[in-house]
Amino acid sequence: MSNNLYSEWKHYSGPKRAMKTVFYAIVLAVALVSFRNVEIIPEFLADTPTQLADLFKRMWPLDLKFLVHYVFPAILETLHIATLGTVATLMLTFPLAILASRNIVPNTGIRYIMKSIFVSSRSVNSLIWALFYVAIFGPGSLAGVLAIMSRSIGFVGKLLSEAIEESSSKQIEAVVSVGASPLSVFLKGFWPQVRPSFISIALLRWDINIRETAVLGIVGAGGIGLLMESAIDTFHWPGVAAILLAIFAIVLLAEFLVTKLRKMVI
Amino acid sequence: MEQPVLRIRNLTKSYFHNQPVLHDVSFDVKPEEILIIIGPSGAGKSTLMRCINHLITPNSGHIYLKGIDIPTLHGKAMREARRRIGMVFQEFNLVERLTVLENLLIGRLGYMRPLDALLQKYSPEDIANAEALLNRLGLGDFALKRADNLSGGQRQRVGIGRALMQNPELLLADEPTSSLDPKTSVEVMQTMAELAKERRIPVLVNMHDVNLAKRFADRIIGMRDGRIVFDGSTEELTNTVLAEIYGGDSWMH
Amino acid sequence: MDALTRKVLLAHETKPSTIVEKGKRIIRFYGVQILAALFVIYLVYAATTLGINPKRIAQGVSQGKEFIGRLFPPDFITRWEDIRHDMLESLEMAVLASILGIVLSLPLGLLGARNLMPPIITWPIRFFISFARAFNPIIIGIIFVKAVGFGPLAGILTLSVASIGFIGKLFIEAIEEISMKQVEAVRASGASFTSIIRYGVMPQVSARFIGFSMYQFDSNLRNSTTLGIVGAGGIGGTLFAAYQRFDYQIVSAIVLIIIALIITDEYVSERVRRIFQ
Repeated sequence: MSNNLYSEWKHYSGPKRAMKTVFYAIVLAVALVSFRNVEIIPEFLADTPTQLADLFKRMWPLDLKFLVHYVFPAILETLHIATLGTVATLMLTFPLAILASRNIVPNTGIRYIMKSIFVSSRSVNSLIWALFYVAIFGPGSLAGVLAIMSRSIGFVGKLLSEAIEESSSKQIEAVVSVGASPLSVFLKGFWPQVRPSFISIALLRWDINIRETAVLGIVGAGGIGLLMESAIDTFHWPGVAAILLAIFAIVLLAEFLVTKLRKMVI
Repeated sequence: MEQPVLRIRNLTKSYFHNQPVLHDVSFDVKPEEILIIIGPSGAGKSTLMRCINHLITPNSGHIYLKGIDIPTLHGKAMREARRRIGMVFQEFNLVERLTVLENLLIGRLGYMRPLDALLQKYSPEDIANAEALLNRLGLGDFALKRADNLSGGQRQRVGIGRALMQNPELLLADEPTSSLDPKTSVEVMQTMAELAKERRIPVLVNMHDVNLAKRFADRIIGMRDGRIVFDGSTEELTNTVLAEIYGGDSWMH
Repeated sequence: MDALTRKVLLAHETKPSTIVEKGKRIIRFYGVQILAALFVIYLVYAATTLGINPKRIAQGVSQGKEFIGRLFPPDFITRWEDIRHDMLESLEMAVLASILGIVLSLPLGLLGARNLMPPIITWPIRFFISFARAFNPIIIGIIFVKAVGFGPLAGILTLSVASIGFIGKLFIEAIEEISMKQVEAVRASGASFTSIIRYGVMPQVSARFIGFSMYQFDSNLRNSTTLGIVGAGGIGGTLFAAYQRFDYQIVSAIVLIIIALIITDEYVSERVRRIFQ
């Protein structure tokens, strides 16, 4: 990438620069309208820093006994839910993504259905999915796993089908030319190319899912959310602090693992 | 005289109505000969190659591989015909993330069940043959290296190896040297010619480097605008003929 | 290590003699497979601990059919005023938070880049951004609601912090990847600090910055629809209230509107991205 001072100026052609200006103007207009409409009480806004400071003061020192006895098992449960949900998603979405790929399935009808499934799944927040599943299966981790799955299918499906569509047709052509059956073409032509992306997508989604699972408990779908809700309702701020610490720790751990595993794959 | 390995009769292919890419092409490929097709870009050479192993379906005509008409085949019968034809590609078309050895063994996929392919259950014979072939190709040390670690010339040799692992009756090469420098091009052509002669199979190549063609061909076919305009020995390929194949004088037609 | 490579190596390598050598070879040859097996054992353990089994799933499926019946037809009418007002509020929250987050991420990102700033500055900034990223907006939302009260203010602050966490991190990564040669060149010409940033750093990262910003807006829009569940404003509150009242037809209506909103947003984002490419 060799941008320099002058390439930036020449970067956008005339009409595009006009459109850019229009875009910024629209954004500014929308921002102003929103600002006027939104109901904010200025005093509360000004008070924010004091309130936050007060809150953090009440969280210190954090409750270590609480951390060990209650938080630790709850955070493990969160980990289980996120992992199971991610694995189940991968198994389910893999065939679906294949069906959504232009270079494997020529039928636009089938592909359209798959893409619609993916879009709907992505558009609904996992918390809302959790509401549904709690209503059907009752509170507990099953609802949590299903909520994670429902949200992840759209994410994984879109990225996976894009990865499949990006496979080099030349490599595929060669495997076809030796007389291999369609399944062998897939296994030896497509899969070696798709595998690194698959692992990357899986790890990325797992990381995001851990963060998402942490709050599902608020609506009763298992994990540490429920504990946090009750700690807050009882004003047990040192306990809340312990929970936040645990979440922070596990998210960092997951990120670390993901970075290491991704390096192994490239 | 023996039967030709490949007989092509009246092959026609057009992508758009009234714009034939191949127009009534007919010729034979004799056993053990090296037949090189030359001609300008757009002459239909690549399309011709891909019709032979049915990667492209012609509109009409016949392609007889020892009596079997390839364009009429589908499904399993077509795959069984394909494995009898080994193809070498201009851009090597190796599966880059797999090892060199496994790329060679891809040539056996036409003879294996998908489950065995998944589990990498290649027969010991196949593995031994692949290793021997790699040594023969001068790539013995590269067996377990990933294919994308190799240079262009090395990759093309792997491509040749893959085609030969099929134990084919015919070798097709679609511009096998167009992505290589002149020295490597000669080496690759040499390798292909030697190995084909050892196995006593014919080679059908298309390329645009006329001098290279003259050096290695037993027989040359010149194509232009989807038609064959020359079919003869390298001596018969005079400059006049070359001008007719490559020249731009539209009043000739 | 794949089966083929293993076969070939087994045939050609000398047999290991010592225990240590044998152990090392097992790890080299079967390392991935061992990890995979351990992972599968973990999955079974996790599922059992959580009490997830086919029987419970089957029970739920039959109840699910009845539940889905209660979702239809979606009721857009009964609470239309509330829905309209709250959807708009969600949208406004997302817009304001995104702008605030983007504006704040620029300086924070520059301050957090290790190739531009000394560790004494980068460490606290990076820590803050890490912190902001680690927590789901819902959690941040709960905290802000406790601090500033119910309503969209909490929501806007929440999403701004979340935006800084996301955009900030990616922005820092982008800055740390730039070629310092261009920066040196501008610096050598005697330019001021802001000019160095403007002409040496920004041209190399602006394209990606716009990309992250668009992505974060999408994310903020999605989150703004659920923050209401914890009282931080937007349609989430209406949805949750309807849910707790068992007004499932209203719930499904709201969900459908949310889906439509997100799809529209994805489409618009795509067009905007093209303008900036």
